[in-house]
Amino acid sequence: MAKVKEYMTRGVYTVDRRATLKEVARAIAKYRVSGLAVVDEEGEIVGVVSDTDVLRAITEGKEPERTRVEEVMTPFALIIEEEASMEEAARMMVHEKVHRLFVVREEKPEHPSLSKQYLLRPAGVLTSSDIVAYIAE
Amino acid sequence: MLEMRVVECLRRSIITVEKGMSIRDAARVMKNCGISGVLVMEGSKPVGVLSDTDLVKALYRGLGKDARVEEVMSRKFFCVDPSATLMEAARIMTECGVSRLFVVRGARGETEVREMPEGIISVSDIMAAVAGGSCEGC
Repeated sequence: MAKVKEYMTRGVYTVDRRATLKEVARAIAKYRVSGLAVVDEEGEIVGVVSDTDVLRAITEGKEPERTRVEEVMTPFALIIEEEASMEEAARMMVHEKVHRLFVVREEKPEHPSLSKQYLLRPAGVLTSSDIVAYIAE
Repeated sequence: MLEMRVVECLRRSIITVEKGMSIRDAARVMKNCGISGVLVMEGSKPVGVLSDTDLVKALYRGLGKDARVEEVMSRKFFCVDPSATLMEAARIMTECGVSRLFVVRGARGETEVREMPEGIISVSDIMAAVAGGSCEGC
């Protein structure tokens, strides 16, 4: 059975929690990704922001140059173990209605939405595009 | 920034797959083109849309990679009129929970797939507009 670690993208693009939505949009456009991990002053991950979060904030009238990412981010992330199967990753994406999971090396915690300790050292990210790549084989 | 019209930013090249194709082959098209959704055709007629989310669901449902595109595709797509602003497109995407809209004259939101769209506008086009004041389209 194919494992998450075979298809994940290693490394995580991050943005500072004080960055503006405009800066987030720039990073998303530059790295050609659909979301970023949000980090605090010490570089620890405190949430996730996606392109659709930015979109929603703007349609609600928030100013991209003045709004900080920490105001619109999701203050937690979903994680999966790198030894998990791609089928398990698909199940989690469907159930949690997300397109992105952070991949960790540690044992999976009982509850998928997560505590900081598991997010401190994510090994990478698995997105719905990685599932497409798996099906393409 | 988002006052620009969809028609100024839309991508006119629409990638298509045949409804009888296997999801493996359709996934290859999506992977090779670096896109998250394709229009599904029956001959020269558009009949649905296949997105990366549909493929995630197919894997979750235990369908094999030889399953046909028509088994997992959606028969409706989400549309915006070419004269709408990017802000209006952003609103439709947020309301409908999608990251791409097909550009069809006179259409807004969820629509039965019947005619060939003029193009596509995606959340990444809007991000580019927010980031730099212009859009990547064309």
